[in-house]
Parts: sequence; structure tokens; C-alpha cells
Amino acid sequence: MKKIKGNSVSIGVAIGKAKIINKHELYIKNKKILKSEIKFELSRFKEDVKFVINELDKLIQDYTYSKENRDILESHKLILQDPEFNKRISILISEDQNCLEQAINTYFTEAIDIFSNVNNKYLSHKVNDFEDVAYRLLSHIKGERKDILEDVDENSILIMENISPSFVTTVFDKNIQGLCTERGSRNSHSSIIARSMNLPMLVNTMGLLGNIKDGEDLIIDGNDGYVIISPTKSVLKKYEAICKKEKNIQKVLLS
Amino acid sequence: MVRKTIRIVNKLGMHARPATMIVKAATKYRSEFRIIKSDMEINGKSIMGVMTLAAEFGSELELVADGVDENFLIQEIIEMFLNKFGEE
Repeated sequence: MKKIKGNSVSIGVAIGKAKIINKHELYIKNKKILKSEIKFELSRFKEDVKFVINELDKLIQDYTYSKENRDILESHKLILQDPEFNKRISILISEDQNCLEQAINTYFTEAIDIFSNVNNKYLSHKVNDFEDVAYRLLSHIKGERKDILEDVDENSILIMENISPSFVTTVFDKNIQGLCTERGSRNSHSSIIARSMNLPMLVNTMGLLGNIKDGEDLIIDGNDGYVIISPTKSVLKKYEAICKKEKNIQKVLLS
Repeated sequence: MVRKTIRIVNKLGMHARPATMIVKAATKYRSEFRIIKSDMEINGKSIMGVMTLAAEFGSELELVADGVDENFLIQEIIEMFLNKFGEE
């Protein structure tokens, strides 16, 4: 049994199995294209951006939890519709003869660099948005879209480094027991939603990912702010009793 | 071509939300739109450009619109600034 301290952002006890969610790394190849391939690469760019914008439109339509999250997705659309983005990619492809994925990777790496260095707390968190959009576009171009929440079930407690803005939508559509992240804050959008859905959640749980294996038994104690890995039988029993009590209270409150 | 100078009067400055509002509004018009802050000049229809201005409370910006509907564009943008983007 291991116990790690975190900050509780949504109270309650959750008992389940650890499901570690990793964004899978994209391998970007740096390849020069031939002059004869420029036209094809440019048309691919147009189509792929169109595809991802349509995808964002669908998410915006389906997403009813909050206006704030819809605004985030709208701003992701603007990043893709940016005329300077278009211009820069066209130059990288036609003049520098970069292949599409390299051109896009270059653009977003530069953008993320600028925002990481900007001395303004309202802008520095925009890095997340640019990372999100870059991942969405590049994973589509490379045809490496995988549903990383595929094996999640109603027994799962999600373990993540952090929840990115556009991922919030998908995460809370799943039927799960609770969440725990290594970074994050009380006022993040995911924390607010977790509270509104009565899902126990911890953030700022140092050393979380290094100490948990996928599928391990897990307890989130959102009342005292602990995650308990592979609990002993007696500890499990204690928390099962608390969990049952909380569920009964909820039932009474909701009836 | 029209040029107007304006000062940022909302306390939080030009963060993500006002930047989004400006780009969305400017994109509706056909005229070109540029914003100048000291030695930096950016495309006012580019979210990346407007955000990298990182314009703080009190800083001065020059708005430049050029095209058939330049006056309407400038007017709408200036109103947004004066209304402090609906903030404090």
C-alpha cells in the first residue's frame, strides 16, 4: 500500500482501478519535398485544416456543459483560421520545401516558444491551447488518431499529468469514478466540472505517475486529499463504508 | 486608409478573450487591418499576432485599416476598446 498527498479539488471517496491516460507521442519526420510535390502538399494542408475545423464545430455543438469551454474551442478554431498561419505554412512548403507535417510542427513550435517567453500571466497559459491544436492537427495528418479513452469503464479512476482544455469535453462524457492529476489547479476548468458532477478529484499529486501502474486498485480520498495505491483489505473496507454512506446521502439529497 | 490611436483601459489588458473578440470582429470586414505597438506591427486579423502584442493596461496602440469598409471596421474595434471588452 502506498499513500500520496494531493490537493483535493472535489470532495468524496472514489474506489476503482487506475487507468493511466497518456497522449501518445507523435513522431514528426523532417523531410524535404520535391518541387513537383508542392501543389499536392498545399492542397493537403487546406483539406486537413478544414477537417479539423469541422471537427471542432461538432464539439462546440455537442458541448453543453459550459460556455467557457465552448469559448476555448472557438479560440482553437481561430488559431487554425489565422491568415498568418496560412501564409507561414505556404512559405514553409513552397519556398523551404518542407513536408506538411514538418511545416506545421515548425509553426507551432515557434508559437509555443513565443508564448512560453511572454511575460504576461494571461497569455502564458495560451501555450496549452497551441499544444492542443498542434496535436489535433498533426495526429489527423499522420492518421494516428487513437481513442485514448477506449478502455475506460465505470470502474476507472483516470490518472493523468494534466487535462488539456479540449480534452475536458471527452473526459467528462465518460462514466468514471474519479480523477487524479499530477499538475493542475483548483480553478482549472476540469476541477470546476468535477465538483459539479460530484466526482472526487485530486490535483498537484507529486510523483503520481511514477508510483502507479495501469490497472492497480486505487482509492481517492477527496476529503483528506490522498490517493491510496493497492490498499490493504482493512483500509479498503473502511473506505467502502465511507463510500456507501456518501452515496446514500447523495441519494437522499437527489430524491 | 484610416489611423486611430487608442489606449487600453481594461485592467487585465489584451489577454486571450479581448484578442479573440478583436480578431472575430475584424475578420468580418474586407479591409486590411494592422495594429502597431511601439516598434511592433501585426496583422489585426491574426489571433497569433494580436496575442503576441501582449498589450498591458495603459499601453497605447495605433489601429490602421485600409480598404472599402475601413471606417466601419475601425469604428467597431474602437467601440470594443472603449467598452473595455465588457470587463472592468
